[in-house]
Amino acid sequence: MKIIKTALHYWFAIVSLFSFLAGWGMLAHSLKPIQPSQTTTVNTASLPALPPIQAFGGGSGNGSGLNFVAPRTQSGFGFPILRTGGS
Amino acid sequence: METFHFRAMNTDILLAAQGTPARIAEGFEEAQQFIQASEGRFSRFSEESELSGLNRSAGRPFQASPDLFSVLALAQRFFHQTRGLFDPSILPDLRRVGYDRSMDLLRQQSAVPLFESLLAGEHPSFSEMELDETRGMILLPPGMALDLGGIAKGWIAEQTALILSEFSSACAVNAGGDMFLVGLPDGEEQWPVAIEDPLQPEITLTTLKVDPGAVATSAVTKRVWKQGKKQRHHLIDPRTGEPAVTDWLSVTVIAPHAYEAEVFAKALLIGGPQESEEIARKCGARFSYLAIDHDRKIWGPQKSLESCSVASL
Repeated sequence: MKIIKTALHYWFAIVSLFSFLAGWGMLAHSLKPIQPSQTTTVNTASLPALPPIQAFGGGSGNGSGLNFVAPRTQSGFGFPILRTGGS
Repeated sequence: METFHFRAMNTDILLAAQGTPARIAEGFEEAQQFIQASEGRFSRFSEESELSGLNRSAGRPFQASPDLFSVLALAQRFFHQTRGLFDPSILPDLRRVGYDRSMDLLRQQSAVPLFESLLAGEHPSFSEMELDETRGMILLPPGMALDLGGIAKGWIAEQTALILSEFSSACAVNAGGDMFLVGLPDGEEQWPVAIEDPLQPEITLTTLKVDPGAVATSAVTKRVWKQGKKQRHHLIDPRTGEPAVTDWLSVTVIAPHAYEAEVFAKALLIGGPQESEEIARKCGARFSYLAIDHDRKIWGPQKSLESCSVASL
């Protein structure tokens, strides 16, 4: 009985050691995580070219004669420009 | 011009007013109280709200407050003018697609469960609602439940602006993009209103100058969530009972009243180019509109857009 217990102890010790070394080896050869500095990209919002307004009318596309100004977010008035876009 | 920001009705509220600071502060306080009280009256997310009480009373007469009665009388008129595209009785469908809690709470969920056992559009028609004007009573047929999300915010914005105008010479109330403008700021001939890109709200697609009155925008890109693996938004097409599949991403309407601007923005967005001419004809073309499509092209009827001029900034 004592022999069996001793053999089991050795068996578990050896298996644990090999499992640890195997895991170490796998991790050492796996893909490395990407460094934060490599993932940080600044997504600057690019303003789209202002589309022409098209008159509705079954797709006939008559011009409305309206001109659109370049997008801007700062108010040139003495109050904030009111914004609408749904809620 | 003084400004005051706060959050109510699950959206950002901006009050702007011109006048003496002490009077403006008084006006802001009264305006905020009105908005909060109105939210308590019209919210479907509060069990204590008058609207929830009305929904629970479906099948028997309900004594309504003058405010609720007014909004429902308007809703009934707009239901017919929009050929049913504006329909407050789609609440069962909204719940079925997952919009059963406030948007602030819904946004905290990664996804809500599917309710496949429920059928779309299985509720009485809004035309069956009865209004007794002399007694201020409302009768919803059994099984009807209302959501006033497509009209109440505009109505509240306009009423609030009228309250605020008692304290100022010019003011604006912007409730999440539904706004009402009273008077004109000193030295200005019109109000500038920036139209947001529906896909990138921080970007202004264009800025319009509008006369005192109302502007409202409806978009399919703002109130969105996931139900199971399906992407959902809050604009239910009453013809299908499902979130509308639209040609446009957003529609902005300029109209004399904020509630009609809100209603027609929603109806035009759902109806798209196919229905727009007919809706405009039915309501006597009381409004102008801009629609933005998936390529960010801006559309609008030539005649109605003539009343809008573009800001020269």
